[in-house]
Amino acid sequence: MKRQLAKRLTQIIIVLLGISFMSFLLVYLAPGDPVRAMFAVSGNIPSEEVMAEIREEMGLNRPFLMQYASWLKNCLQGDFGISYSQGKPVAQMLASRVWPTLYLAFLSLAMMVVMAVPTGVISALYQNRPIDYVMRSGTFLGISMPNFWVGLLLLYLIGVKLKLLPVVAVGMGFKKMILPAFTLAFAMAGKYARQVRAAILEEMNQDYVSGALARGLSESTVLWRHVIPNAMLPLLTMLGLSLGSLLGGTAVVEVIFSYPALGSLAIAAIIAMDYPLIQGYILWVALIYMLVNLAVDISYSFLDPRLRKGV
Amino acid sequence: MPMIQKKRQFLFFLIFVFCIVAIAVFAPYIATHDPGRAVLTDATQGPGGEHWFGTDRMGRDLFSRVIYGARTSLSATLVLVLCILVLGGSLGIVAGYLGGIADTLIMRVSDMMVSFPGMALAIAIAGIMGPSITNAVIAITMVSWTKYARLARSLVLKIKHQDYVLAAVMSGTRTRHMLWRYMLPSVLPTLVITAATDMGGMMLELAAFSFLGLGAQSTSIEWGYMLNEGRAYMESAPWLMIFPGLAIFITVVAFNLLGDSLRDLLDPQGSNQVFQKNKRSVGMMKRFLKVMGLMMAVFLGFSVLGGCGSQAAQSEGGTGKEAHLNFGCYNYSDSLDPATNVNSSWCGIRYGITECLFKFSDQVVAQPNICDDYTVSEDYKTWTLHIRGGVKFSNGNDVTASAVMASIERLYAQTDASQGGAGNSRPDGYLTYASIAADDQEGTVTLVCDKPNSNIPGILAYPYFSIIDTSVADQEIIGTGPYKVKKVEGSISMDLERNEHYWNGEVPYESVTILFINDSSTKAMALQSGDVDLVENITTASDLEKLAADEQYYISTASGVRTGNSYMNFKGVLSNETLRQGILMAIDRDTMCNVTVAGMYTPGISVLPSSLTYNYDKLTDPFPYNKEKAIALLDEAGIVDSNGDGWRELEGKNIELNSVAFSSRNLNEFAEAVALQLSEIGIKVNVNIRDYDTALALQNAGEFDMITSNALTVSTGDPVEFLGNWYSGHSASYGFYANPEYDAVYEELMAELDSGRRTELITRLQQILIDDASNIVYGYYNSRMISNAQKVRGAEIATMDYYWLTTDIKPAE
Repeated sequence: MKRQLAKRLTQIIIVLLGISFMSFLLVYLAPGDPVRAMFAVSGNIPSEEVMAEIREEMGLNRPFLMQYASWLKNCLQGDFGISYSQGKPVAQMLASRVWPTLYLAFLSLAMMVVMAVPTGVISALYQNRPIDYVMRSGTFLGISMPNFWVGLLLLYLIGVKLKLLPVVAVGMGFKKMILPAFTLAFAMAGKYARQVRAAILEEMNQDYVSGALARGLSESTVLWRHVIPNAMLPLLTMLGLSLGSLLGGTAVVEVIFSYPALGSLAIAAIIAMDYPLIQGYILWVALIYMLVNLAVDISYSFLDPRLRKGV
Repeated sequence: MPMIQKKRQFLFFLIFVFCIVAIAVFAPYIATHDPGRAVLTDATQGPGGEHWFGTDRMGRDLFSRVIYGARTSLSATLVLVLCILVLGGSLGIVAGYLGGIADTLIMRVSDMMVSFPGMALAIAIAGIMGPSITNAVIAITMVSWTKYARLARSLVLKIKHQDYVLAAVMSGTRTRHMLWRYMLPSVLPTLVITAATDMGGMMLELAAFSFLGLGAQSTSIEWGYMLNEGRAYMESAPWLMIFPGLAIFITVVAFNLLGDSLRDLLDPQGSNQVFQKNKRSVGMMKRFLKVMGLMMAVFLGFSVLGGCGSQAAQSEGGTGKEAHLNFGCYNYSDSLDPATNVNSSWCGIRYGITECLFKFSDQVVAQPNICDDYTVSEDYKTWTLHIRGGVKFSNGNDVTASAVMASIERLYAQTDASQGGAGNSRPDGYLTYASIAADDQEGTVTLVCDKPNSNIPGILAYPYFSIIDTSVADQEIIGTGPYKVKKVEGSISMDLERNEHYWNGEVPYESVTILFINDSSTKAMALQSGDVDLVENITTASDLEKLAADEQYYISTASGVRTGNSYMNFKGVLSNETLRQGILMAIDRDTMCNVTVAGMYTPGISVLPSSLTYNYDKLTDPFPYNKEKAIALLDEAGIVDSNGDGWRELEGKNIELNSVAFSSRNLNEFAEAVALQLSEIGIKVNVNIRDYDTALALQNAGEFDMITSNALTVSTGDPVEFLGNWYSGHSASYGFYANPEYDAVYEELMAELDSGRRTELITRLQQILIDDASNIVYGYYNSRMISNAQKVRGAEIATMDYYWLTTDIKPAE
């Protein structure tokens, strides 16, 4: 277990190094001049000589690898640079958005599980019956509707027309979070309900199920003690992966519902060509994602005794 | 399902998809209108009649646009899927077949990509490369190829050791031949099937990019971008959002159905379910539902707890003893320090936290504020400012003459890089002084300028010169305004409370919550849903119209002191005067201001707003809107289409104007409307919507033919700085306009101190600019404040948009 954990941690560090290199390279290759971008945000572009001086001062004339090394060194000390657009430390700006991001992500994951698992299970139990077709059509809607469209429609109908829920998610109250979280959950639920259905059907075809039934165990015991737990285990990994797509994918919903989290910060950074902030965003999202997945893997090994031995 | 039924189903969905493809291919025959042709006066008409799906804000037929949109959306998705397939497939084949270093390298990179949230990286890549549909395709390809690489690799590994492959290798077949003839054919079918099932998902991703503004731009007709545009009109013109969304939805459904049926068709697994054969017991289902219900209850409980844990803004406004106001506004800056940058200095004043020595009246005259009296020497160099007695900062400290001096000195020190200042504000652009001194006995500050200056009150009313308590400025910004900061939540919200020491009358609200809402239509919706009671500047015309029609809301409009105009580049094709005159006559500024942007701007011909006291009424317009005359003028001057491509030429060269704009205060709409109108008289314009910084950089570099901009004309109460944009000494950043007559008058203006003579000179300058067809003026931006009249009264907007939260804004009775 310990050795495995150590191995995973080394892996994470290697991947982070790779990603840091990539994000630095990306900005290095970006069209436009970083010094000019830095000043353009304040509306005053100094003369070419002054900019050349600053370029020299900032070390932008040094070879690429040297620039990368000094940047990386600063990052490791927690210094991700100063945002061009807001003049504040990037780390501080990102940190303030982490909790809102995770809150929205987890809330929508929870909503999704509540929607998807019953749908999938019922769909599987009533396979090819009318209720199965109804539920499958529902899940089909989920995966085919553009989530920004769903968000806009919900905003329009529930927020503006019926005035049931707030239309801006500024401030993070649970009531304000319902619409954004549901928008995200709706699309995911479609995908998951299909997975749950398939996983349950597959599990039901296993020999041990026939065996258990043949031994005279009741169907409900088989279903609850064996089929569902076994079918749910792979979903845990999927949840971890979904969190990844949520970390980037919430941007659309954040924009629609004015929810201030990492995604909308990234969009704002892009519009302002705030390179340090974009770089910081990539690194932070990678780090959060990998830590959460590590946590998922660890919990996985507790749930599945086979893995604890370390295969 | 029996095989034959599966096949039928597949065929059915295939025909469905083909129908959509056919719509794209035969779009010109299906569309009822030219999708690009704009009739500005027909803007935002509802579905029905001549326009089946209605029209958009430029008066273009939505049905035809949706039909044509199929072309962009389908082809972009196809290219994207092909790119992913080719890149992922070939890397996978190479990795699998060659093995060794190539395999390790490719698979490590792929591992890295998998252990990273793809969408986040794709957004960053697309953003850094600049928004365009090509870049969106590249960005998504870069993060999506790994799936195909893994698939291809595993397939190659499976067949690599089969006898016929080994035999081929032993008989000396070249590697390249092996890859092409043996590996590719066995891998391709699976990859193509995967690609077919991925089409729907990829189309959604691309549309999301366009929706975020990172994909297709205004020049192309694309569904995601149409939704993005339509979003702003959700309330008054919902069809703009419904039809493009429906188009995406139907297409994605078609592809997903096709993909599913394809998978069914190829899936060898039959259906022999154990449970199927048995009758389910009712008890089992009951128990299942019970457990699910319990889970849901636990989830709800947890969520509510989570929600309560984080703070939520109270929405009780205007009732009870403790009056509270919820104010929704755009977040221009997270800082309130006047030294940080322009926006931060404005924010402090706008939120009623800081104040200046002088304050502009609605007639744009600087009035005494913290400074209650002043004297000036005859040479206009030495200004003695008397500080009003009894004024206190919101922390209780006295505003003494030396405190005022400290505040001004701090501003200059904080913005001077040679003194280690990190601020981006540029006060020296307005004022440089030789010395400053404070006399606390007399209560005066003496400012000695290094050259004569008649406008010190106006300059000191500019937000840079807000008076703050320097003794605590490193921790917090304490001013003399009616409110003070209680709590700041990043760029999310800000809680203000009453300044108990306020010097100028009673402060109506005990507390104010500012919610930062950057999207104009969201601001409108938040006002209607009751999330906020007061918002500034709704720039989406349709939202404003709806609010204006509803008696519950009060809209205060100030005739603007901002001019919306397009600079023309005199170092390009637009140096031709006849061409410029023709362009001016082809532009219907009244319709643009009144219909296209629905009254956001008041139309006007001069660079200085009609509401100011610079003799607007005496100006004459030699080039009024007249399309026929414009065409005749160009024809006469020999600027005609001689090569028959539909566009006019100048001296044998095609005219192709590069029009740059950024999307703020309806400027992008102006640029698009101009392009559409000029195309009517045969002048080709390419609209280039960029972010603010890029547009500014292009402007400074002179890389434009027209650049649309919106600027405050009298930021210090005097238009002299703004008129300098056409002075040949400064005009390099504004299109290189040069006219010796203008220069002479401008130089006289700079030295003139008498206000009557100044007005005369300013009037002449305006007329010269009009006669020279020097730039396209659209109109003057009207600032607004919109309030819920049942909860708030007195919510008027000031002419100078420095002042938002004033003590005049009070709870309704």
